[in-house]
Amino acid sequence: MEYTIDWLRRAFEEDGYISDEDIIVTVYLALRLGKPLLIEGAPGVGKTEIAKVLSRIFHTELIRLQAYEGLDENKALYEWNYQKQLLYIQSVREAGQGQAGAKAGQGHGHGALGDLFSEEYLLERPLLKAIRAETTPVLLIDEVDKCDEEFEAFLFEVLSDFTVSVPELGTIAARQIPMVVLTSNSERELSDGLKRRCVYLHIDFPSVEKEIRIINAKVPEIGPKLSEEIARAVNYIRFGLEVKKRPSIAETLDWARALLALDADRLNDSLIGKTANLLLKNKEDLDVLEAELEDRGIMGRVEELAKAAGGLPAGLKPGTTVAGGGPATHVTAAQMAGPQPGAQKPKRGASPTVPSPPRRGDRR
Amino acid sequence: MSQDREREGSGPPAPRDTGAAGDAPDPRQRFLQDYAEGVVDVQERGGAKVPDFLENNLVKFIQVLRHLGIRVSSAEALEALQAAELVDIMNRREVKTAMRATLVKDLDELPIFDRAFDLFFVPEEKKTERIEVRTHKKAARAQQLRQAEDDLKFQGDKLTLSDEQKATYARLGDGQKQKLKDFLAQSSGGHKVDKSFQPMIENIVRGHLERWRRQMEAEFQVDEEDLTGDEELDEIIEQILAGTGEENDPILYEDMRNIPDKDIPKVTLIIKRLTRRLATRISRRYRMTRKRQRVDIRRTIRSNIRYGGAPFDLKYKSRRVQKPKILLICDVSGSMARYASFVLQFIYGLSSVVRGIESFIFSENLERVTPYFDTKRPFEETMAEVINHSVVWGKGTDLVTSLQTFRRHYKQLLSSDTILIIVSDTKTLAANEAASILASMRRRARDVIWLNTLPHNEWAGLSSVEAFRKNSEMFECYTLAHLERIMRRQMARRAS
Repeated sequence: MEYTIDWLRRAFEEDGYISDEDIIVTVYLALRLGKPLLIEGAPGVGKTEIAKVLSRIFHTELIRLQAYEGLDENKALYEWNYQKQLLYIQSVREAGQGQAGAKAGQGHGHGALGDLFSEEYLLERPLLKAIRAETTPVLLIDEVDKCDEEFEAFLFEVLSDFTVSVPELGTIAARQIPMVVLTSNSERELSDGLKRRCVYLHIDFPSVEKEIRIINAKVPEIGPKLSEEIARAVNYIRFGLEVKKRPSIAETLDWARALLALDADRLNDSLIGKTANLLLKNKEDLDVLEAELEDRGIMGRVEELAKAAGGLPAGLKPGTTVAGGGPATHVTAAQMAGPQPGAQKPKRGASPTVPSPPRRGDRR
Repeated sequence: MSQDREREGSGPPAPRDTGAAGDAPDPRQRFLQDYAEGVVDVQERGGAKVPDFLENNLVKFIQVLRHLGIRVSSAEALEALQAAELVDIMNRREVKTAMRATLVKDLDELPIFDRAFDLFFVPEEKKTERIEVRTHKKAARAQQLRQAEDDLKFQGDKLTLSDEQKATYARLGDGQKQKLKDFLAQSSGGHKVDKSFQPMIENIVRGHLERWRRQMEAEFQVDEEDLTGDEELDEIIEQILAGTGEENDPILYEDMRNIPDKDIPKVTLIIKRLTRRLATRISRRYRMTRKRQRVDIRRTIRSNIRYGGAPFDLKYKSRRVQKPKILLICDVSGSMARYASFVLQFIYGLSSVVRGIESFIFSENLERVTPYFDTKRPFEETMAEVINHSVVWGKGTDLVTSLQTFRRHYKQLLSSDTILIIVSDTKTLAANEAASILASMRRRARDVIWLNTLPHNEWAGLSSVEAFRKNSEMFECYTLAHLERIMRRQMARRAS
């Protein structure tokens, strides 16, 4: 059966990934168009998790390539197993010397050399692995903004052809196009060439409403009242205070668990002060928070804002200031934090049959 | 591609039963072909000739986006079309997401896209209405220009003025208009004044109008070049261009010298974010030293003796990672006084994110201020200390002496991996001499970037700007938005 947007939405939900329409539709398009999906957004909004979710819902392998400055083709694509080759040469030579006829020995060695560059000695790195995979894998290239521009150029060549040529072996074409997910923290601008080849998704910090859903999904014991207060407070700290590093969803969840462990049933300023180091991880930001707590208090402000919003879970919107990477008026409330171990897995019987992943020829 | 989603309702019909019509080639196929070959032109295929195909709308929409500065390639356009067909065409949100995912690849461009989409994809009645409004506006504008021509006459003859100048006249208050008219009336009737005076009078009027135009420039003006010539599209483009920045923080667009003290912390924060980006961008290595690492023979032999001399475990020479050094020279002379806190914040922000920045301030002479910014103290303290200790603060500008001082004492700081950033309004004594010193410094540095606090439109007449421009890459920079744009665009391009 073919998969649809609805199917994808349900599958994401069953996997415990609380997403929104923008994310689902974009992911769906990337899969249907057979294009790499480029996800940008602040750290900790759940970019990487999308790849993981995909590999789970399609029951396929997740091949991960972590980009970093200095990453090169050797580490990303393939490498010859030099040690193994050398051992082989040595063993052949010794065997040849053991034989009486020097000529016969040379002949043998010569013949063996031809085999030195065979698949036996090839060390697959993530990209080659994804291309040679038997079933469509999910290829995650994480933090692609960290790699060198040279490597980026090489990458988009691979991503547009899905063939690799190994001089000694010839050209290897992908058996099927992997589902490719690239993530970027926008530390630097990616090249136009790479962007052109991708379907683009920007994930923002979640809205208050969405964050409540996330907290409830991940920390179900917490109760609706506290989770709402946590989401509002975090939203206020993120956008109302001038902090350098805005708390991520993962940090919100850590905080929620900590508050739960402290048996808190309501959030108040002194509790925030005591547990703030779970949300903010550097001194300057903690100072800002402390000053705010002394100055006018946080929960008071948060309640005011909640009332002003007419009880609707509308928070401050991301994008009111130059948020890390330029004005972001577009609010794609996204969500994140992976399913906990033991979180609900898609049930094979109950969910629609797993559709076959997209194939390359599937384009008009 | 097989449709897997049931399409309901009767959205803009995109004919899909290829060949069912029989005789004529499927317009959709032909369109795609044409598009791929780049022969589709909105003027040609737009309007009534082609019915309201999704393709047609999409091409127009992409034109709007392109005129708004979003680069959309043909490949992306085709993809957007494919994407739009994969989603429920009646579901506006899905269509929007589909187009956004395929057409816009930059965070900054998302708000522009959203506005353009909302304005462009509207019901038919709205479109008609919009065209009417525009026709109206055009007529009104033409009327204004005629009025201006009628008003501005010298001895009964029309003055030679550009449309822009006439438009400026039309936007003047009644009092100003009257003044101009009075001036013309008086000079027309002057004693011994004949036709030969007209060019002079015209110059005076033009000068006046130009001055007003510059003053009014704070108000937004749409560049004719940005427009397509298609009335409907132009209206959308104008609306969006006029609205750009509205939702953004106004502080971004405020001239730095006018920002009130109470907003300083906010500015500091923004500058920090921007400078962090600058820092990561220019401190990235520009290129890898070698594709393949080089084997370190000495270390390889040493470590392989235990394998009986077979080079089993290869040792590589480590790559040299060279990050560019940044050297800042900032103008704190009297003419720059109002930008001083901006300048100091810039140094402060940059120093707090990049280690090993050397910073200097200059006016009559040059002073090294690196030590003040090395310690992690709040901005206010640092600023107070710099100002209190500086002997050059707020004096006249003498870049020649300053640069000579630099050469004498700090020459060793310049090397082929140094990026020299100068913040100044270029107003100095002996600009040409200073420029030639700068030229010699440029040869020793990797790059010279000049952030000029003078508005771009004032550059034209200034010889000092010309002189320094030849020896540096100069950017207009007097608002945070400028700084941001420089960080995002120019730096990205330079670094690649």
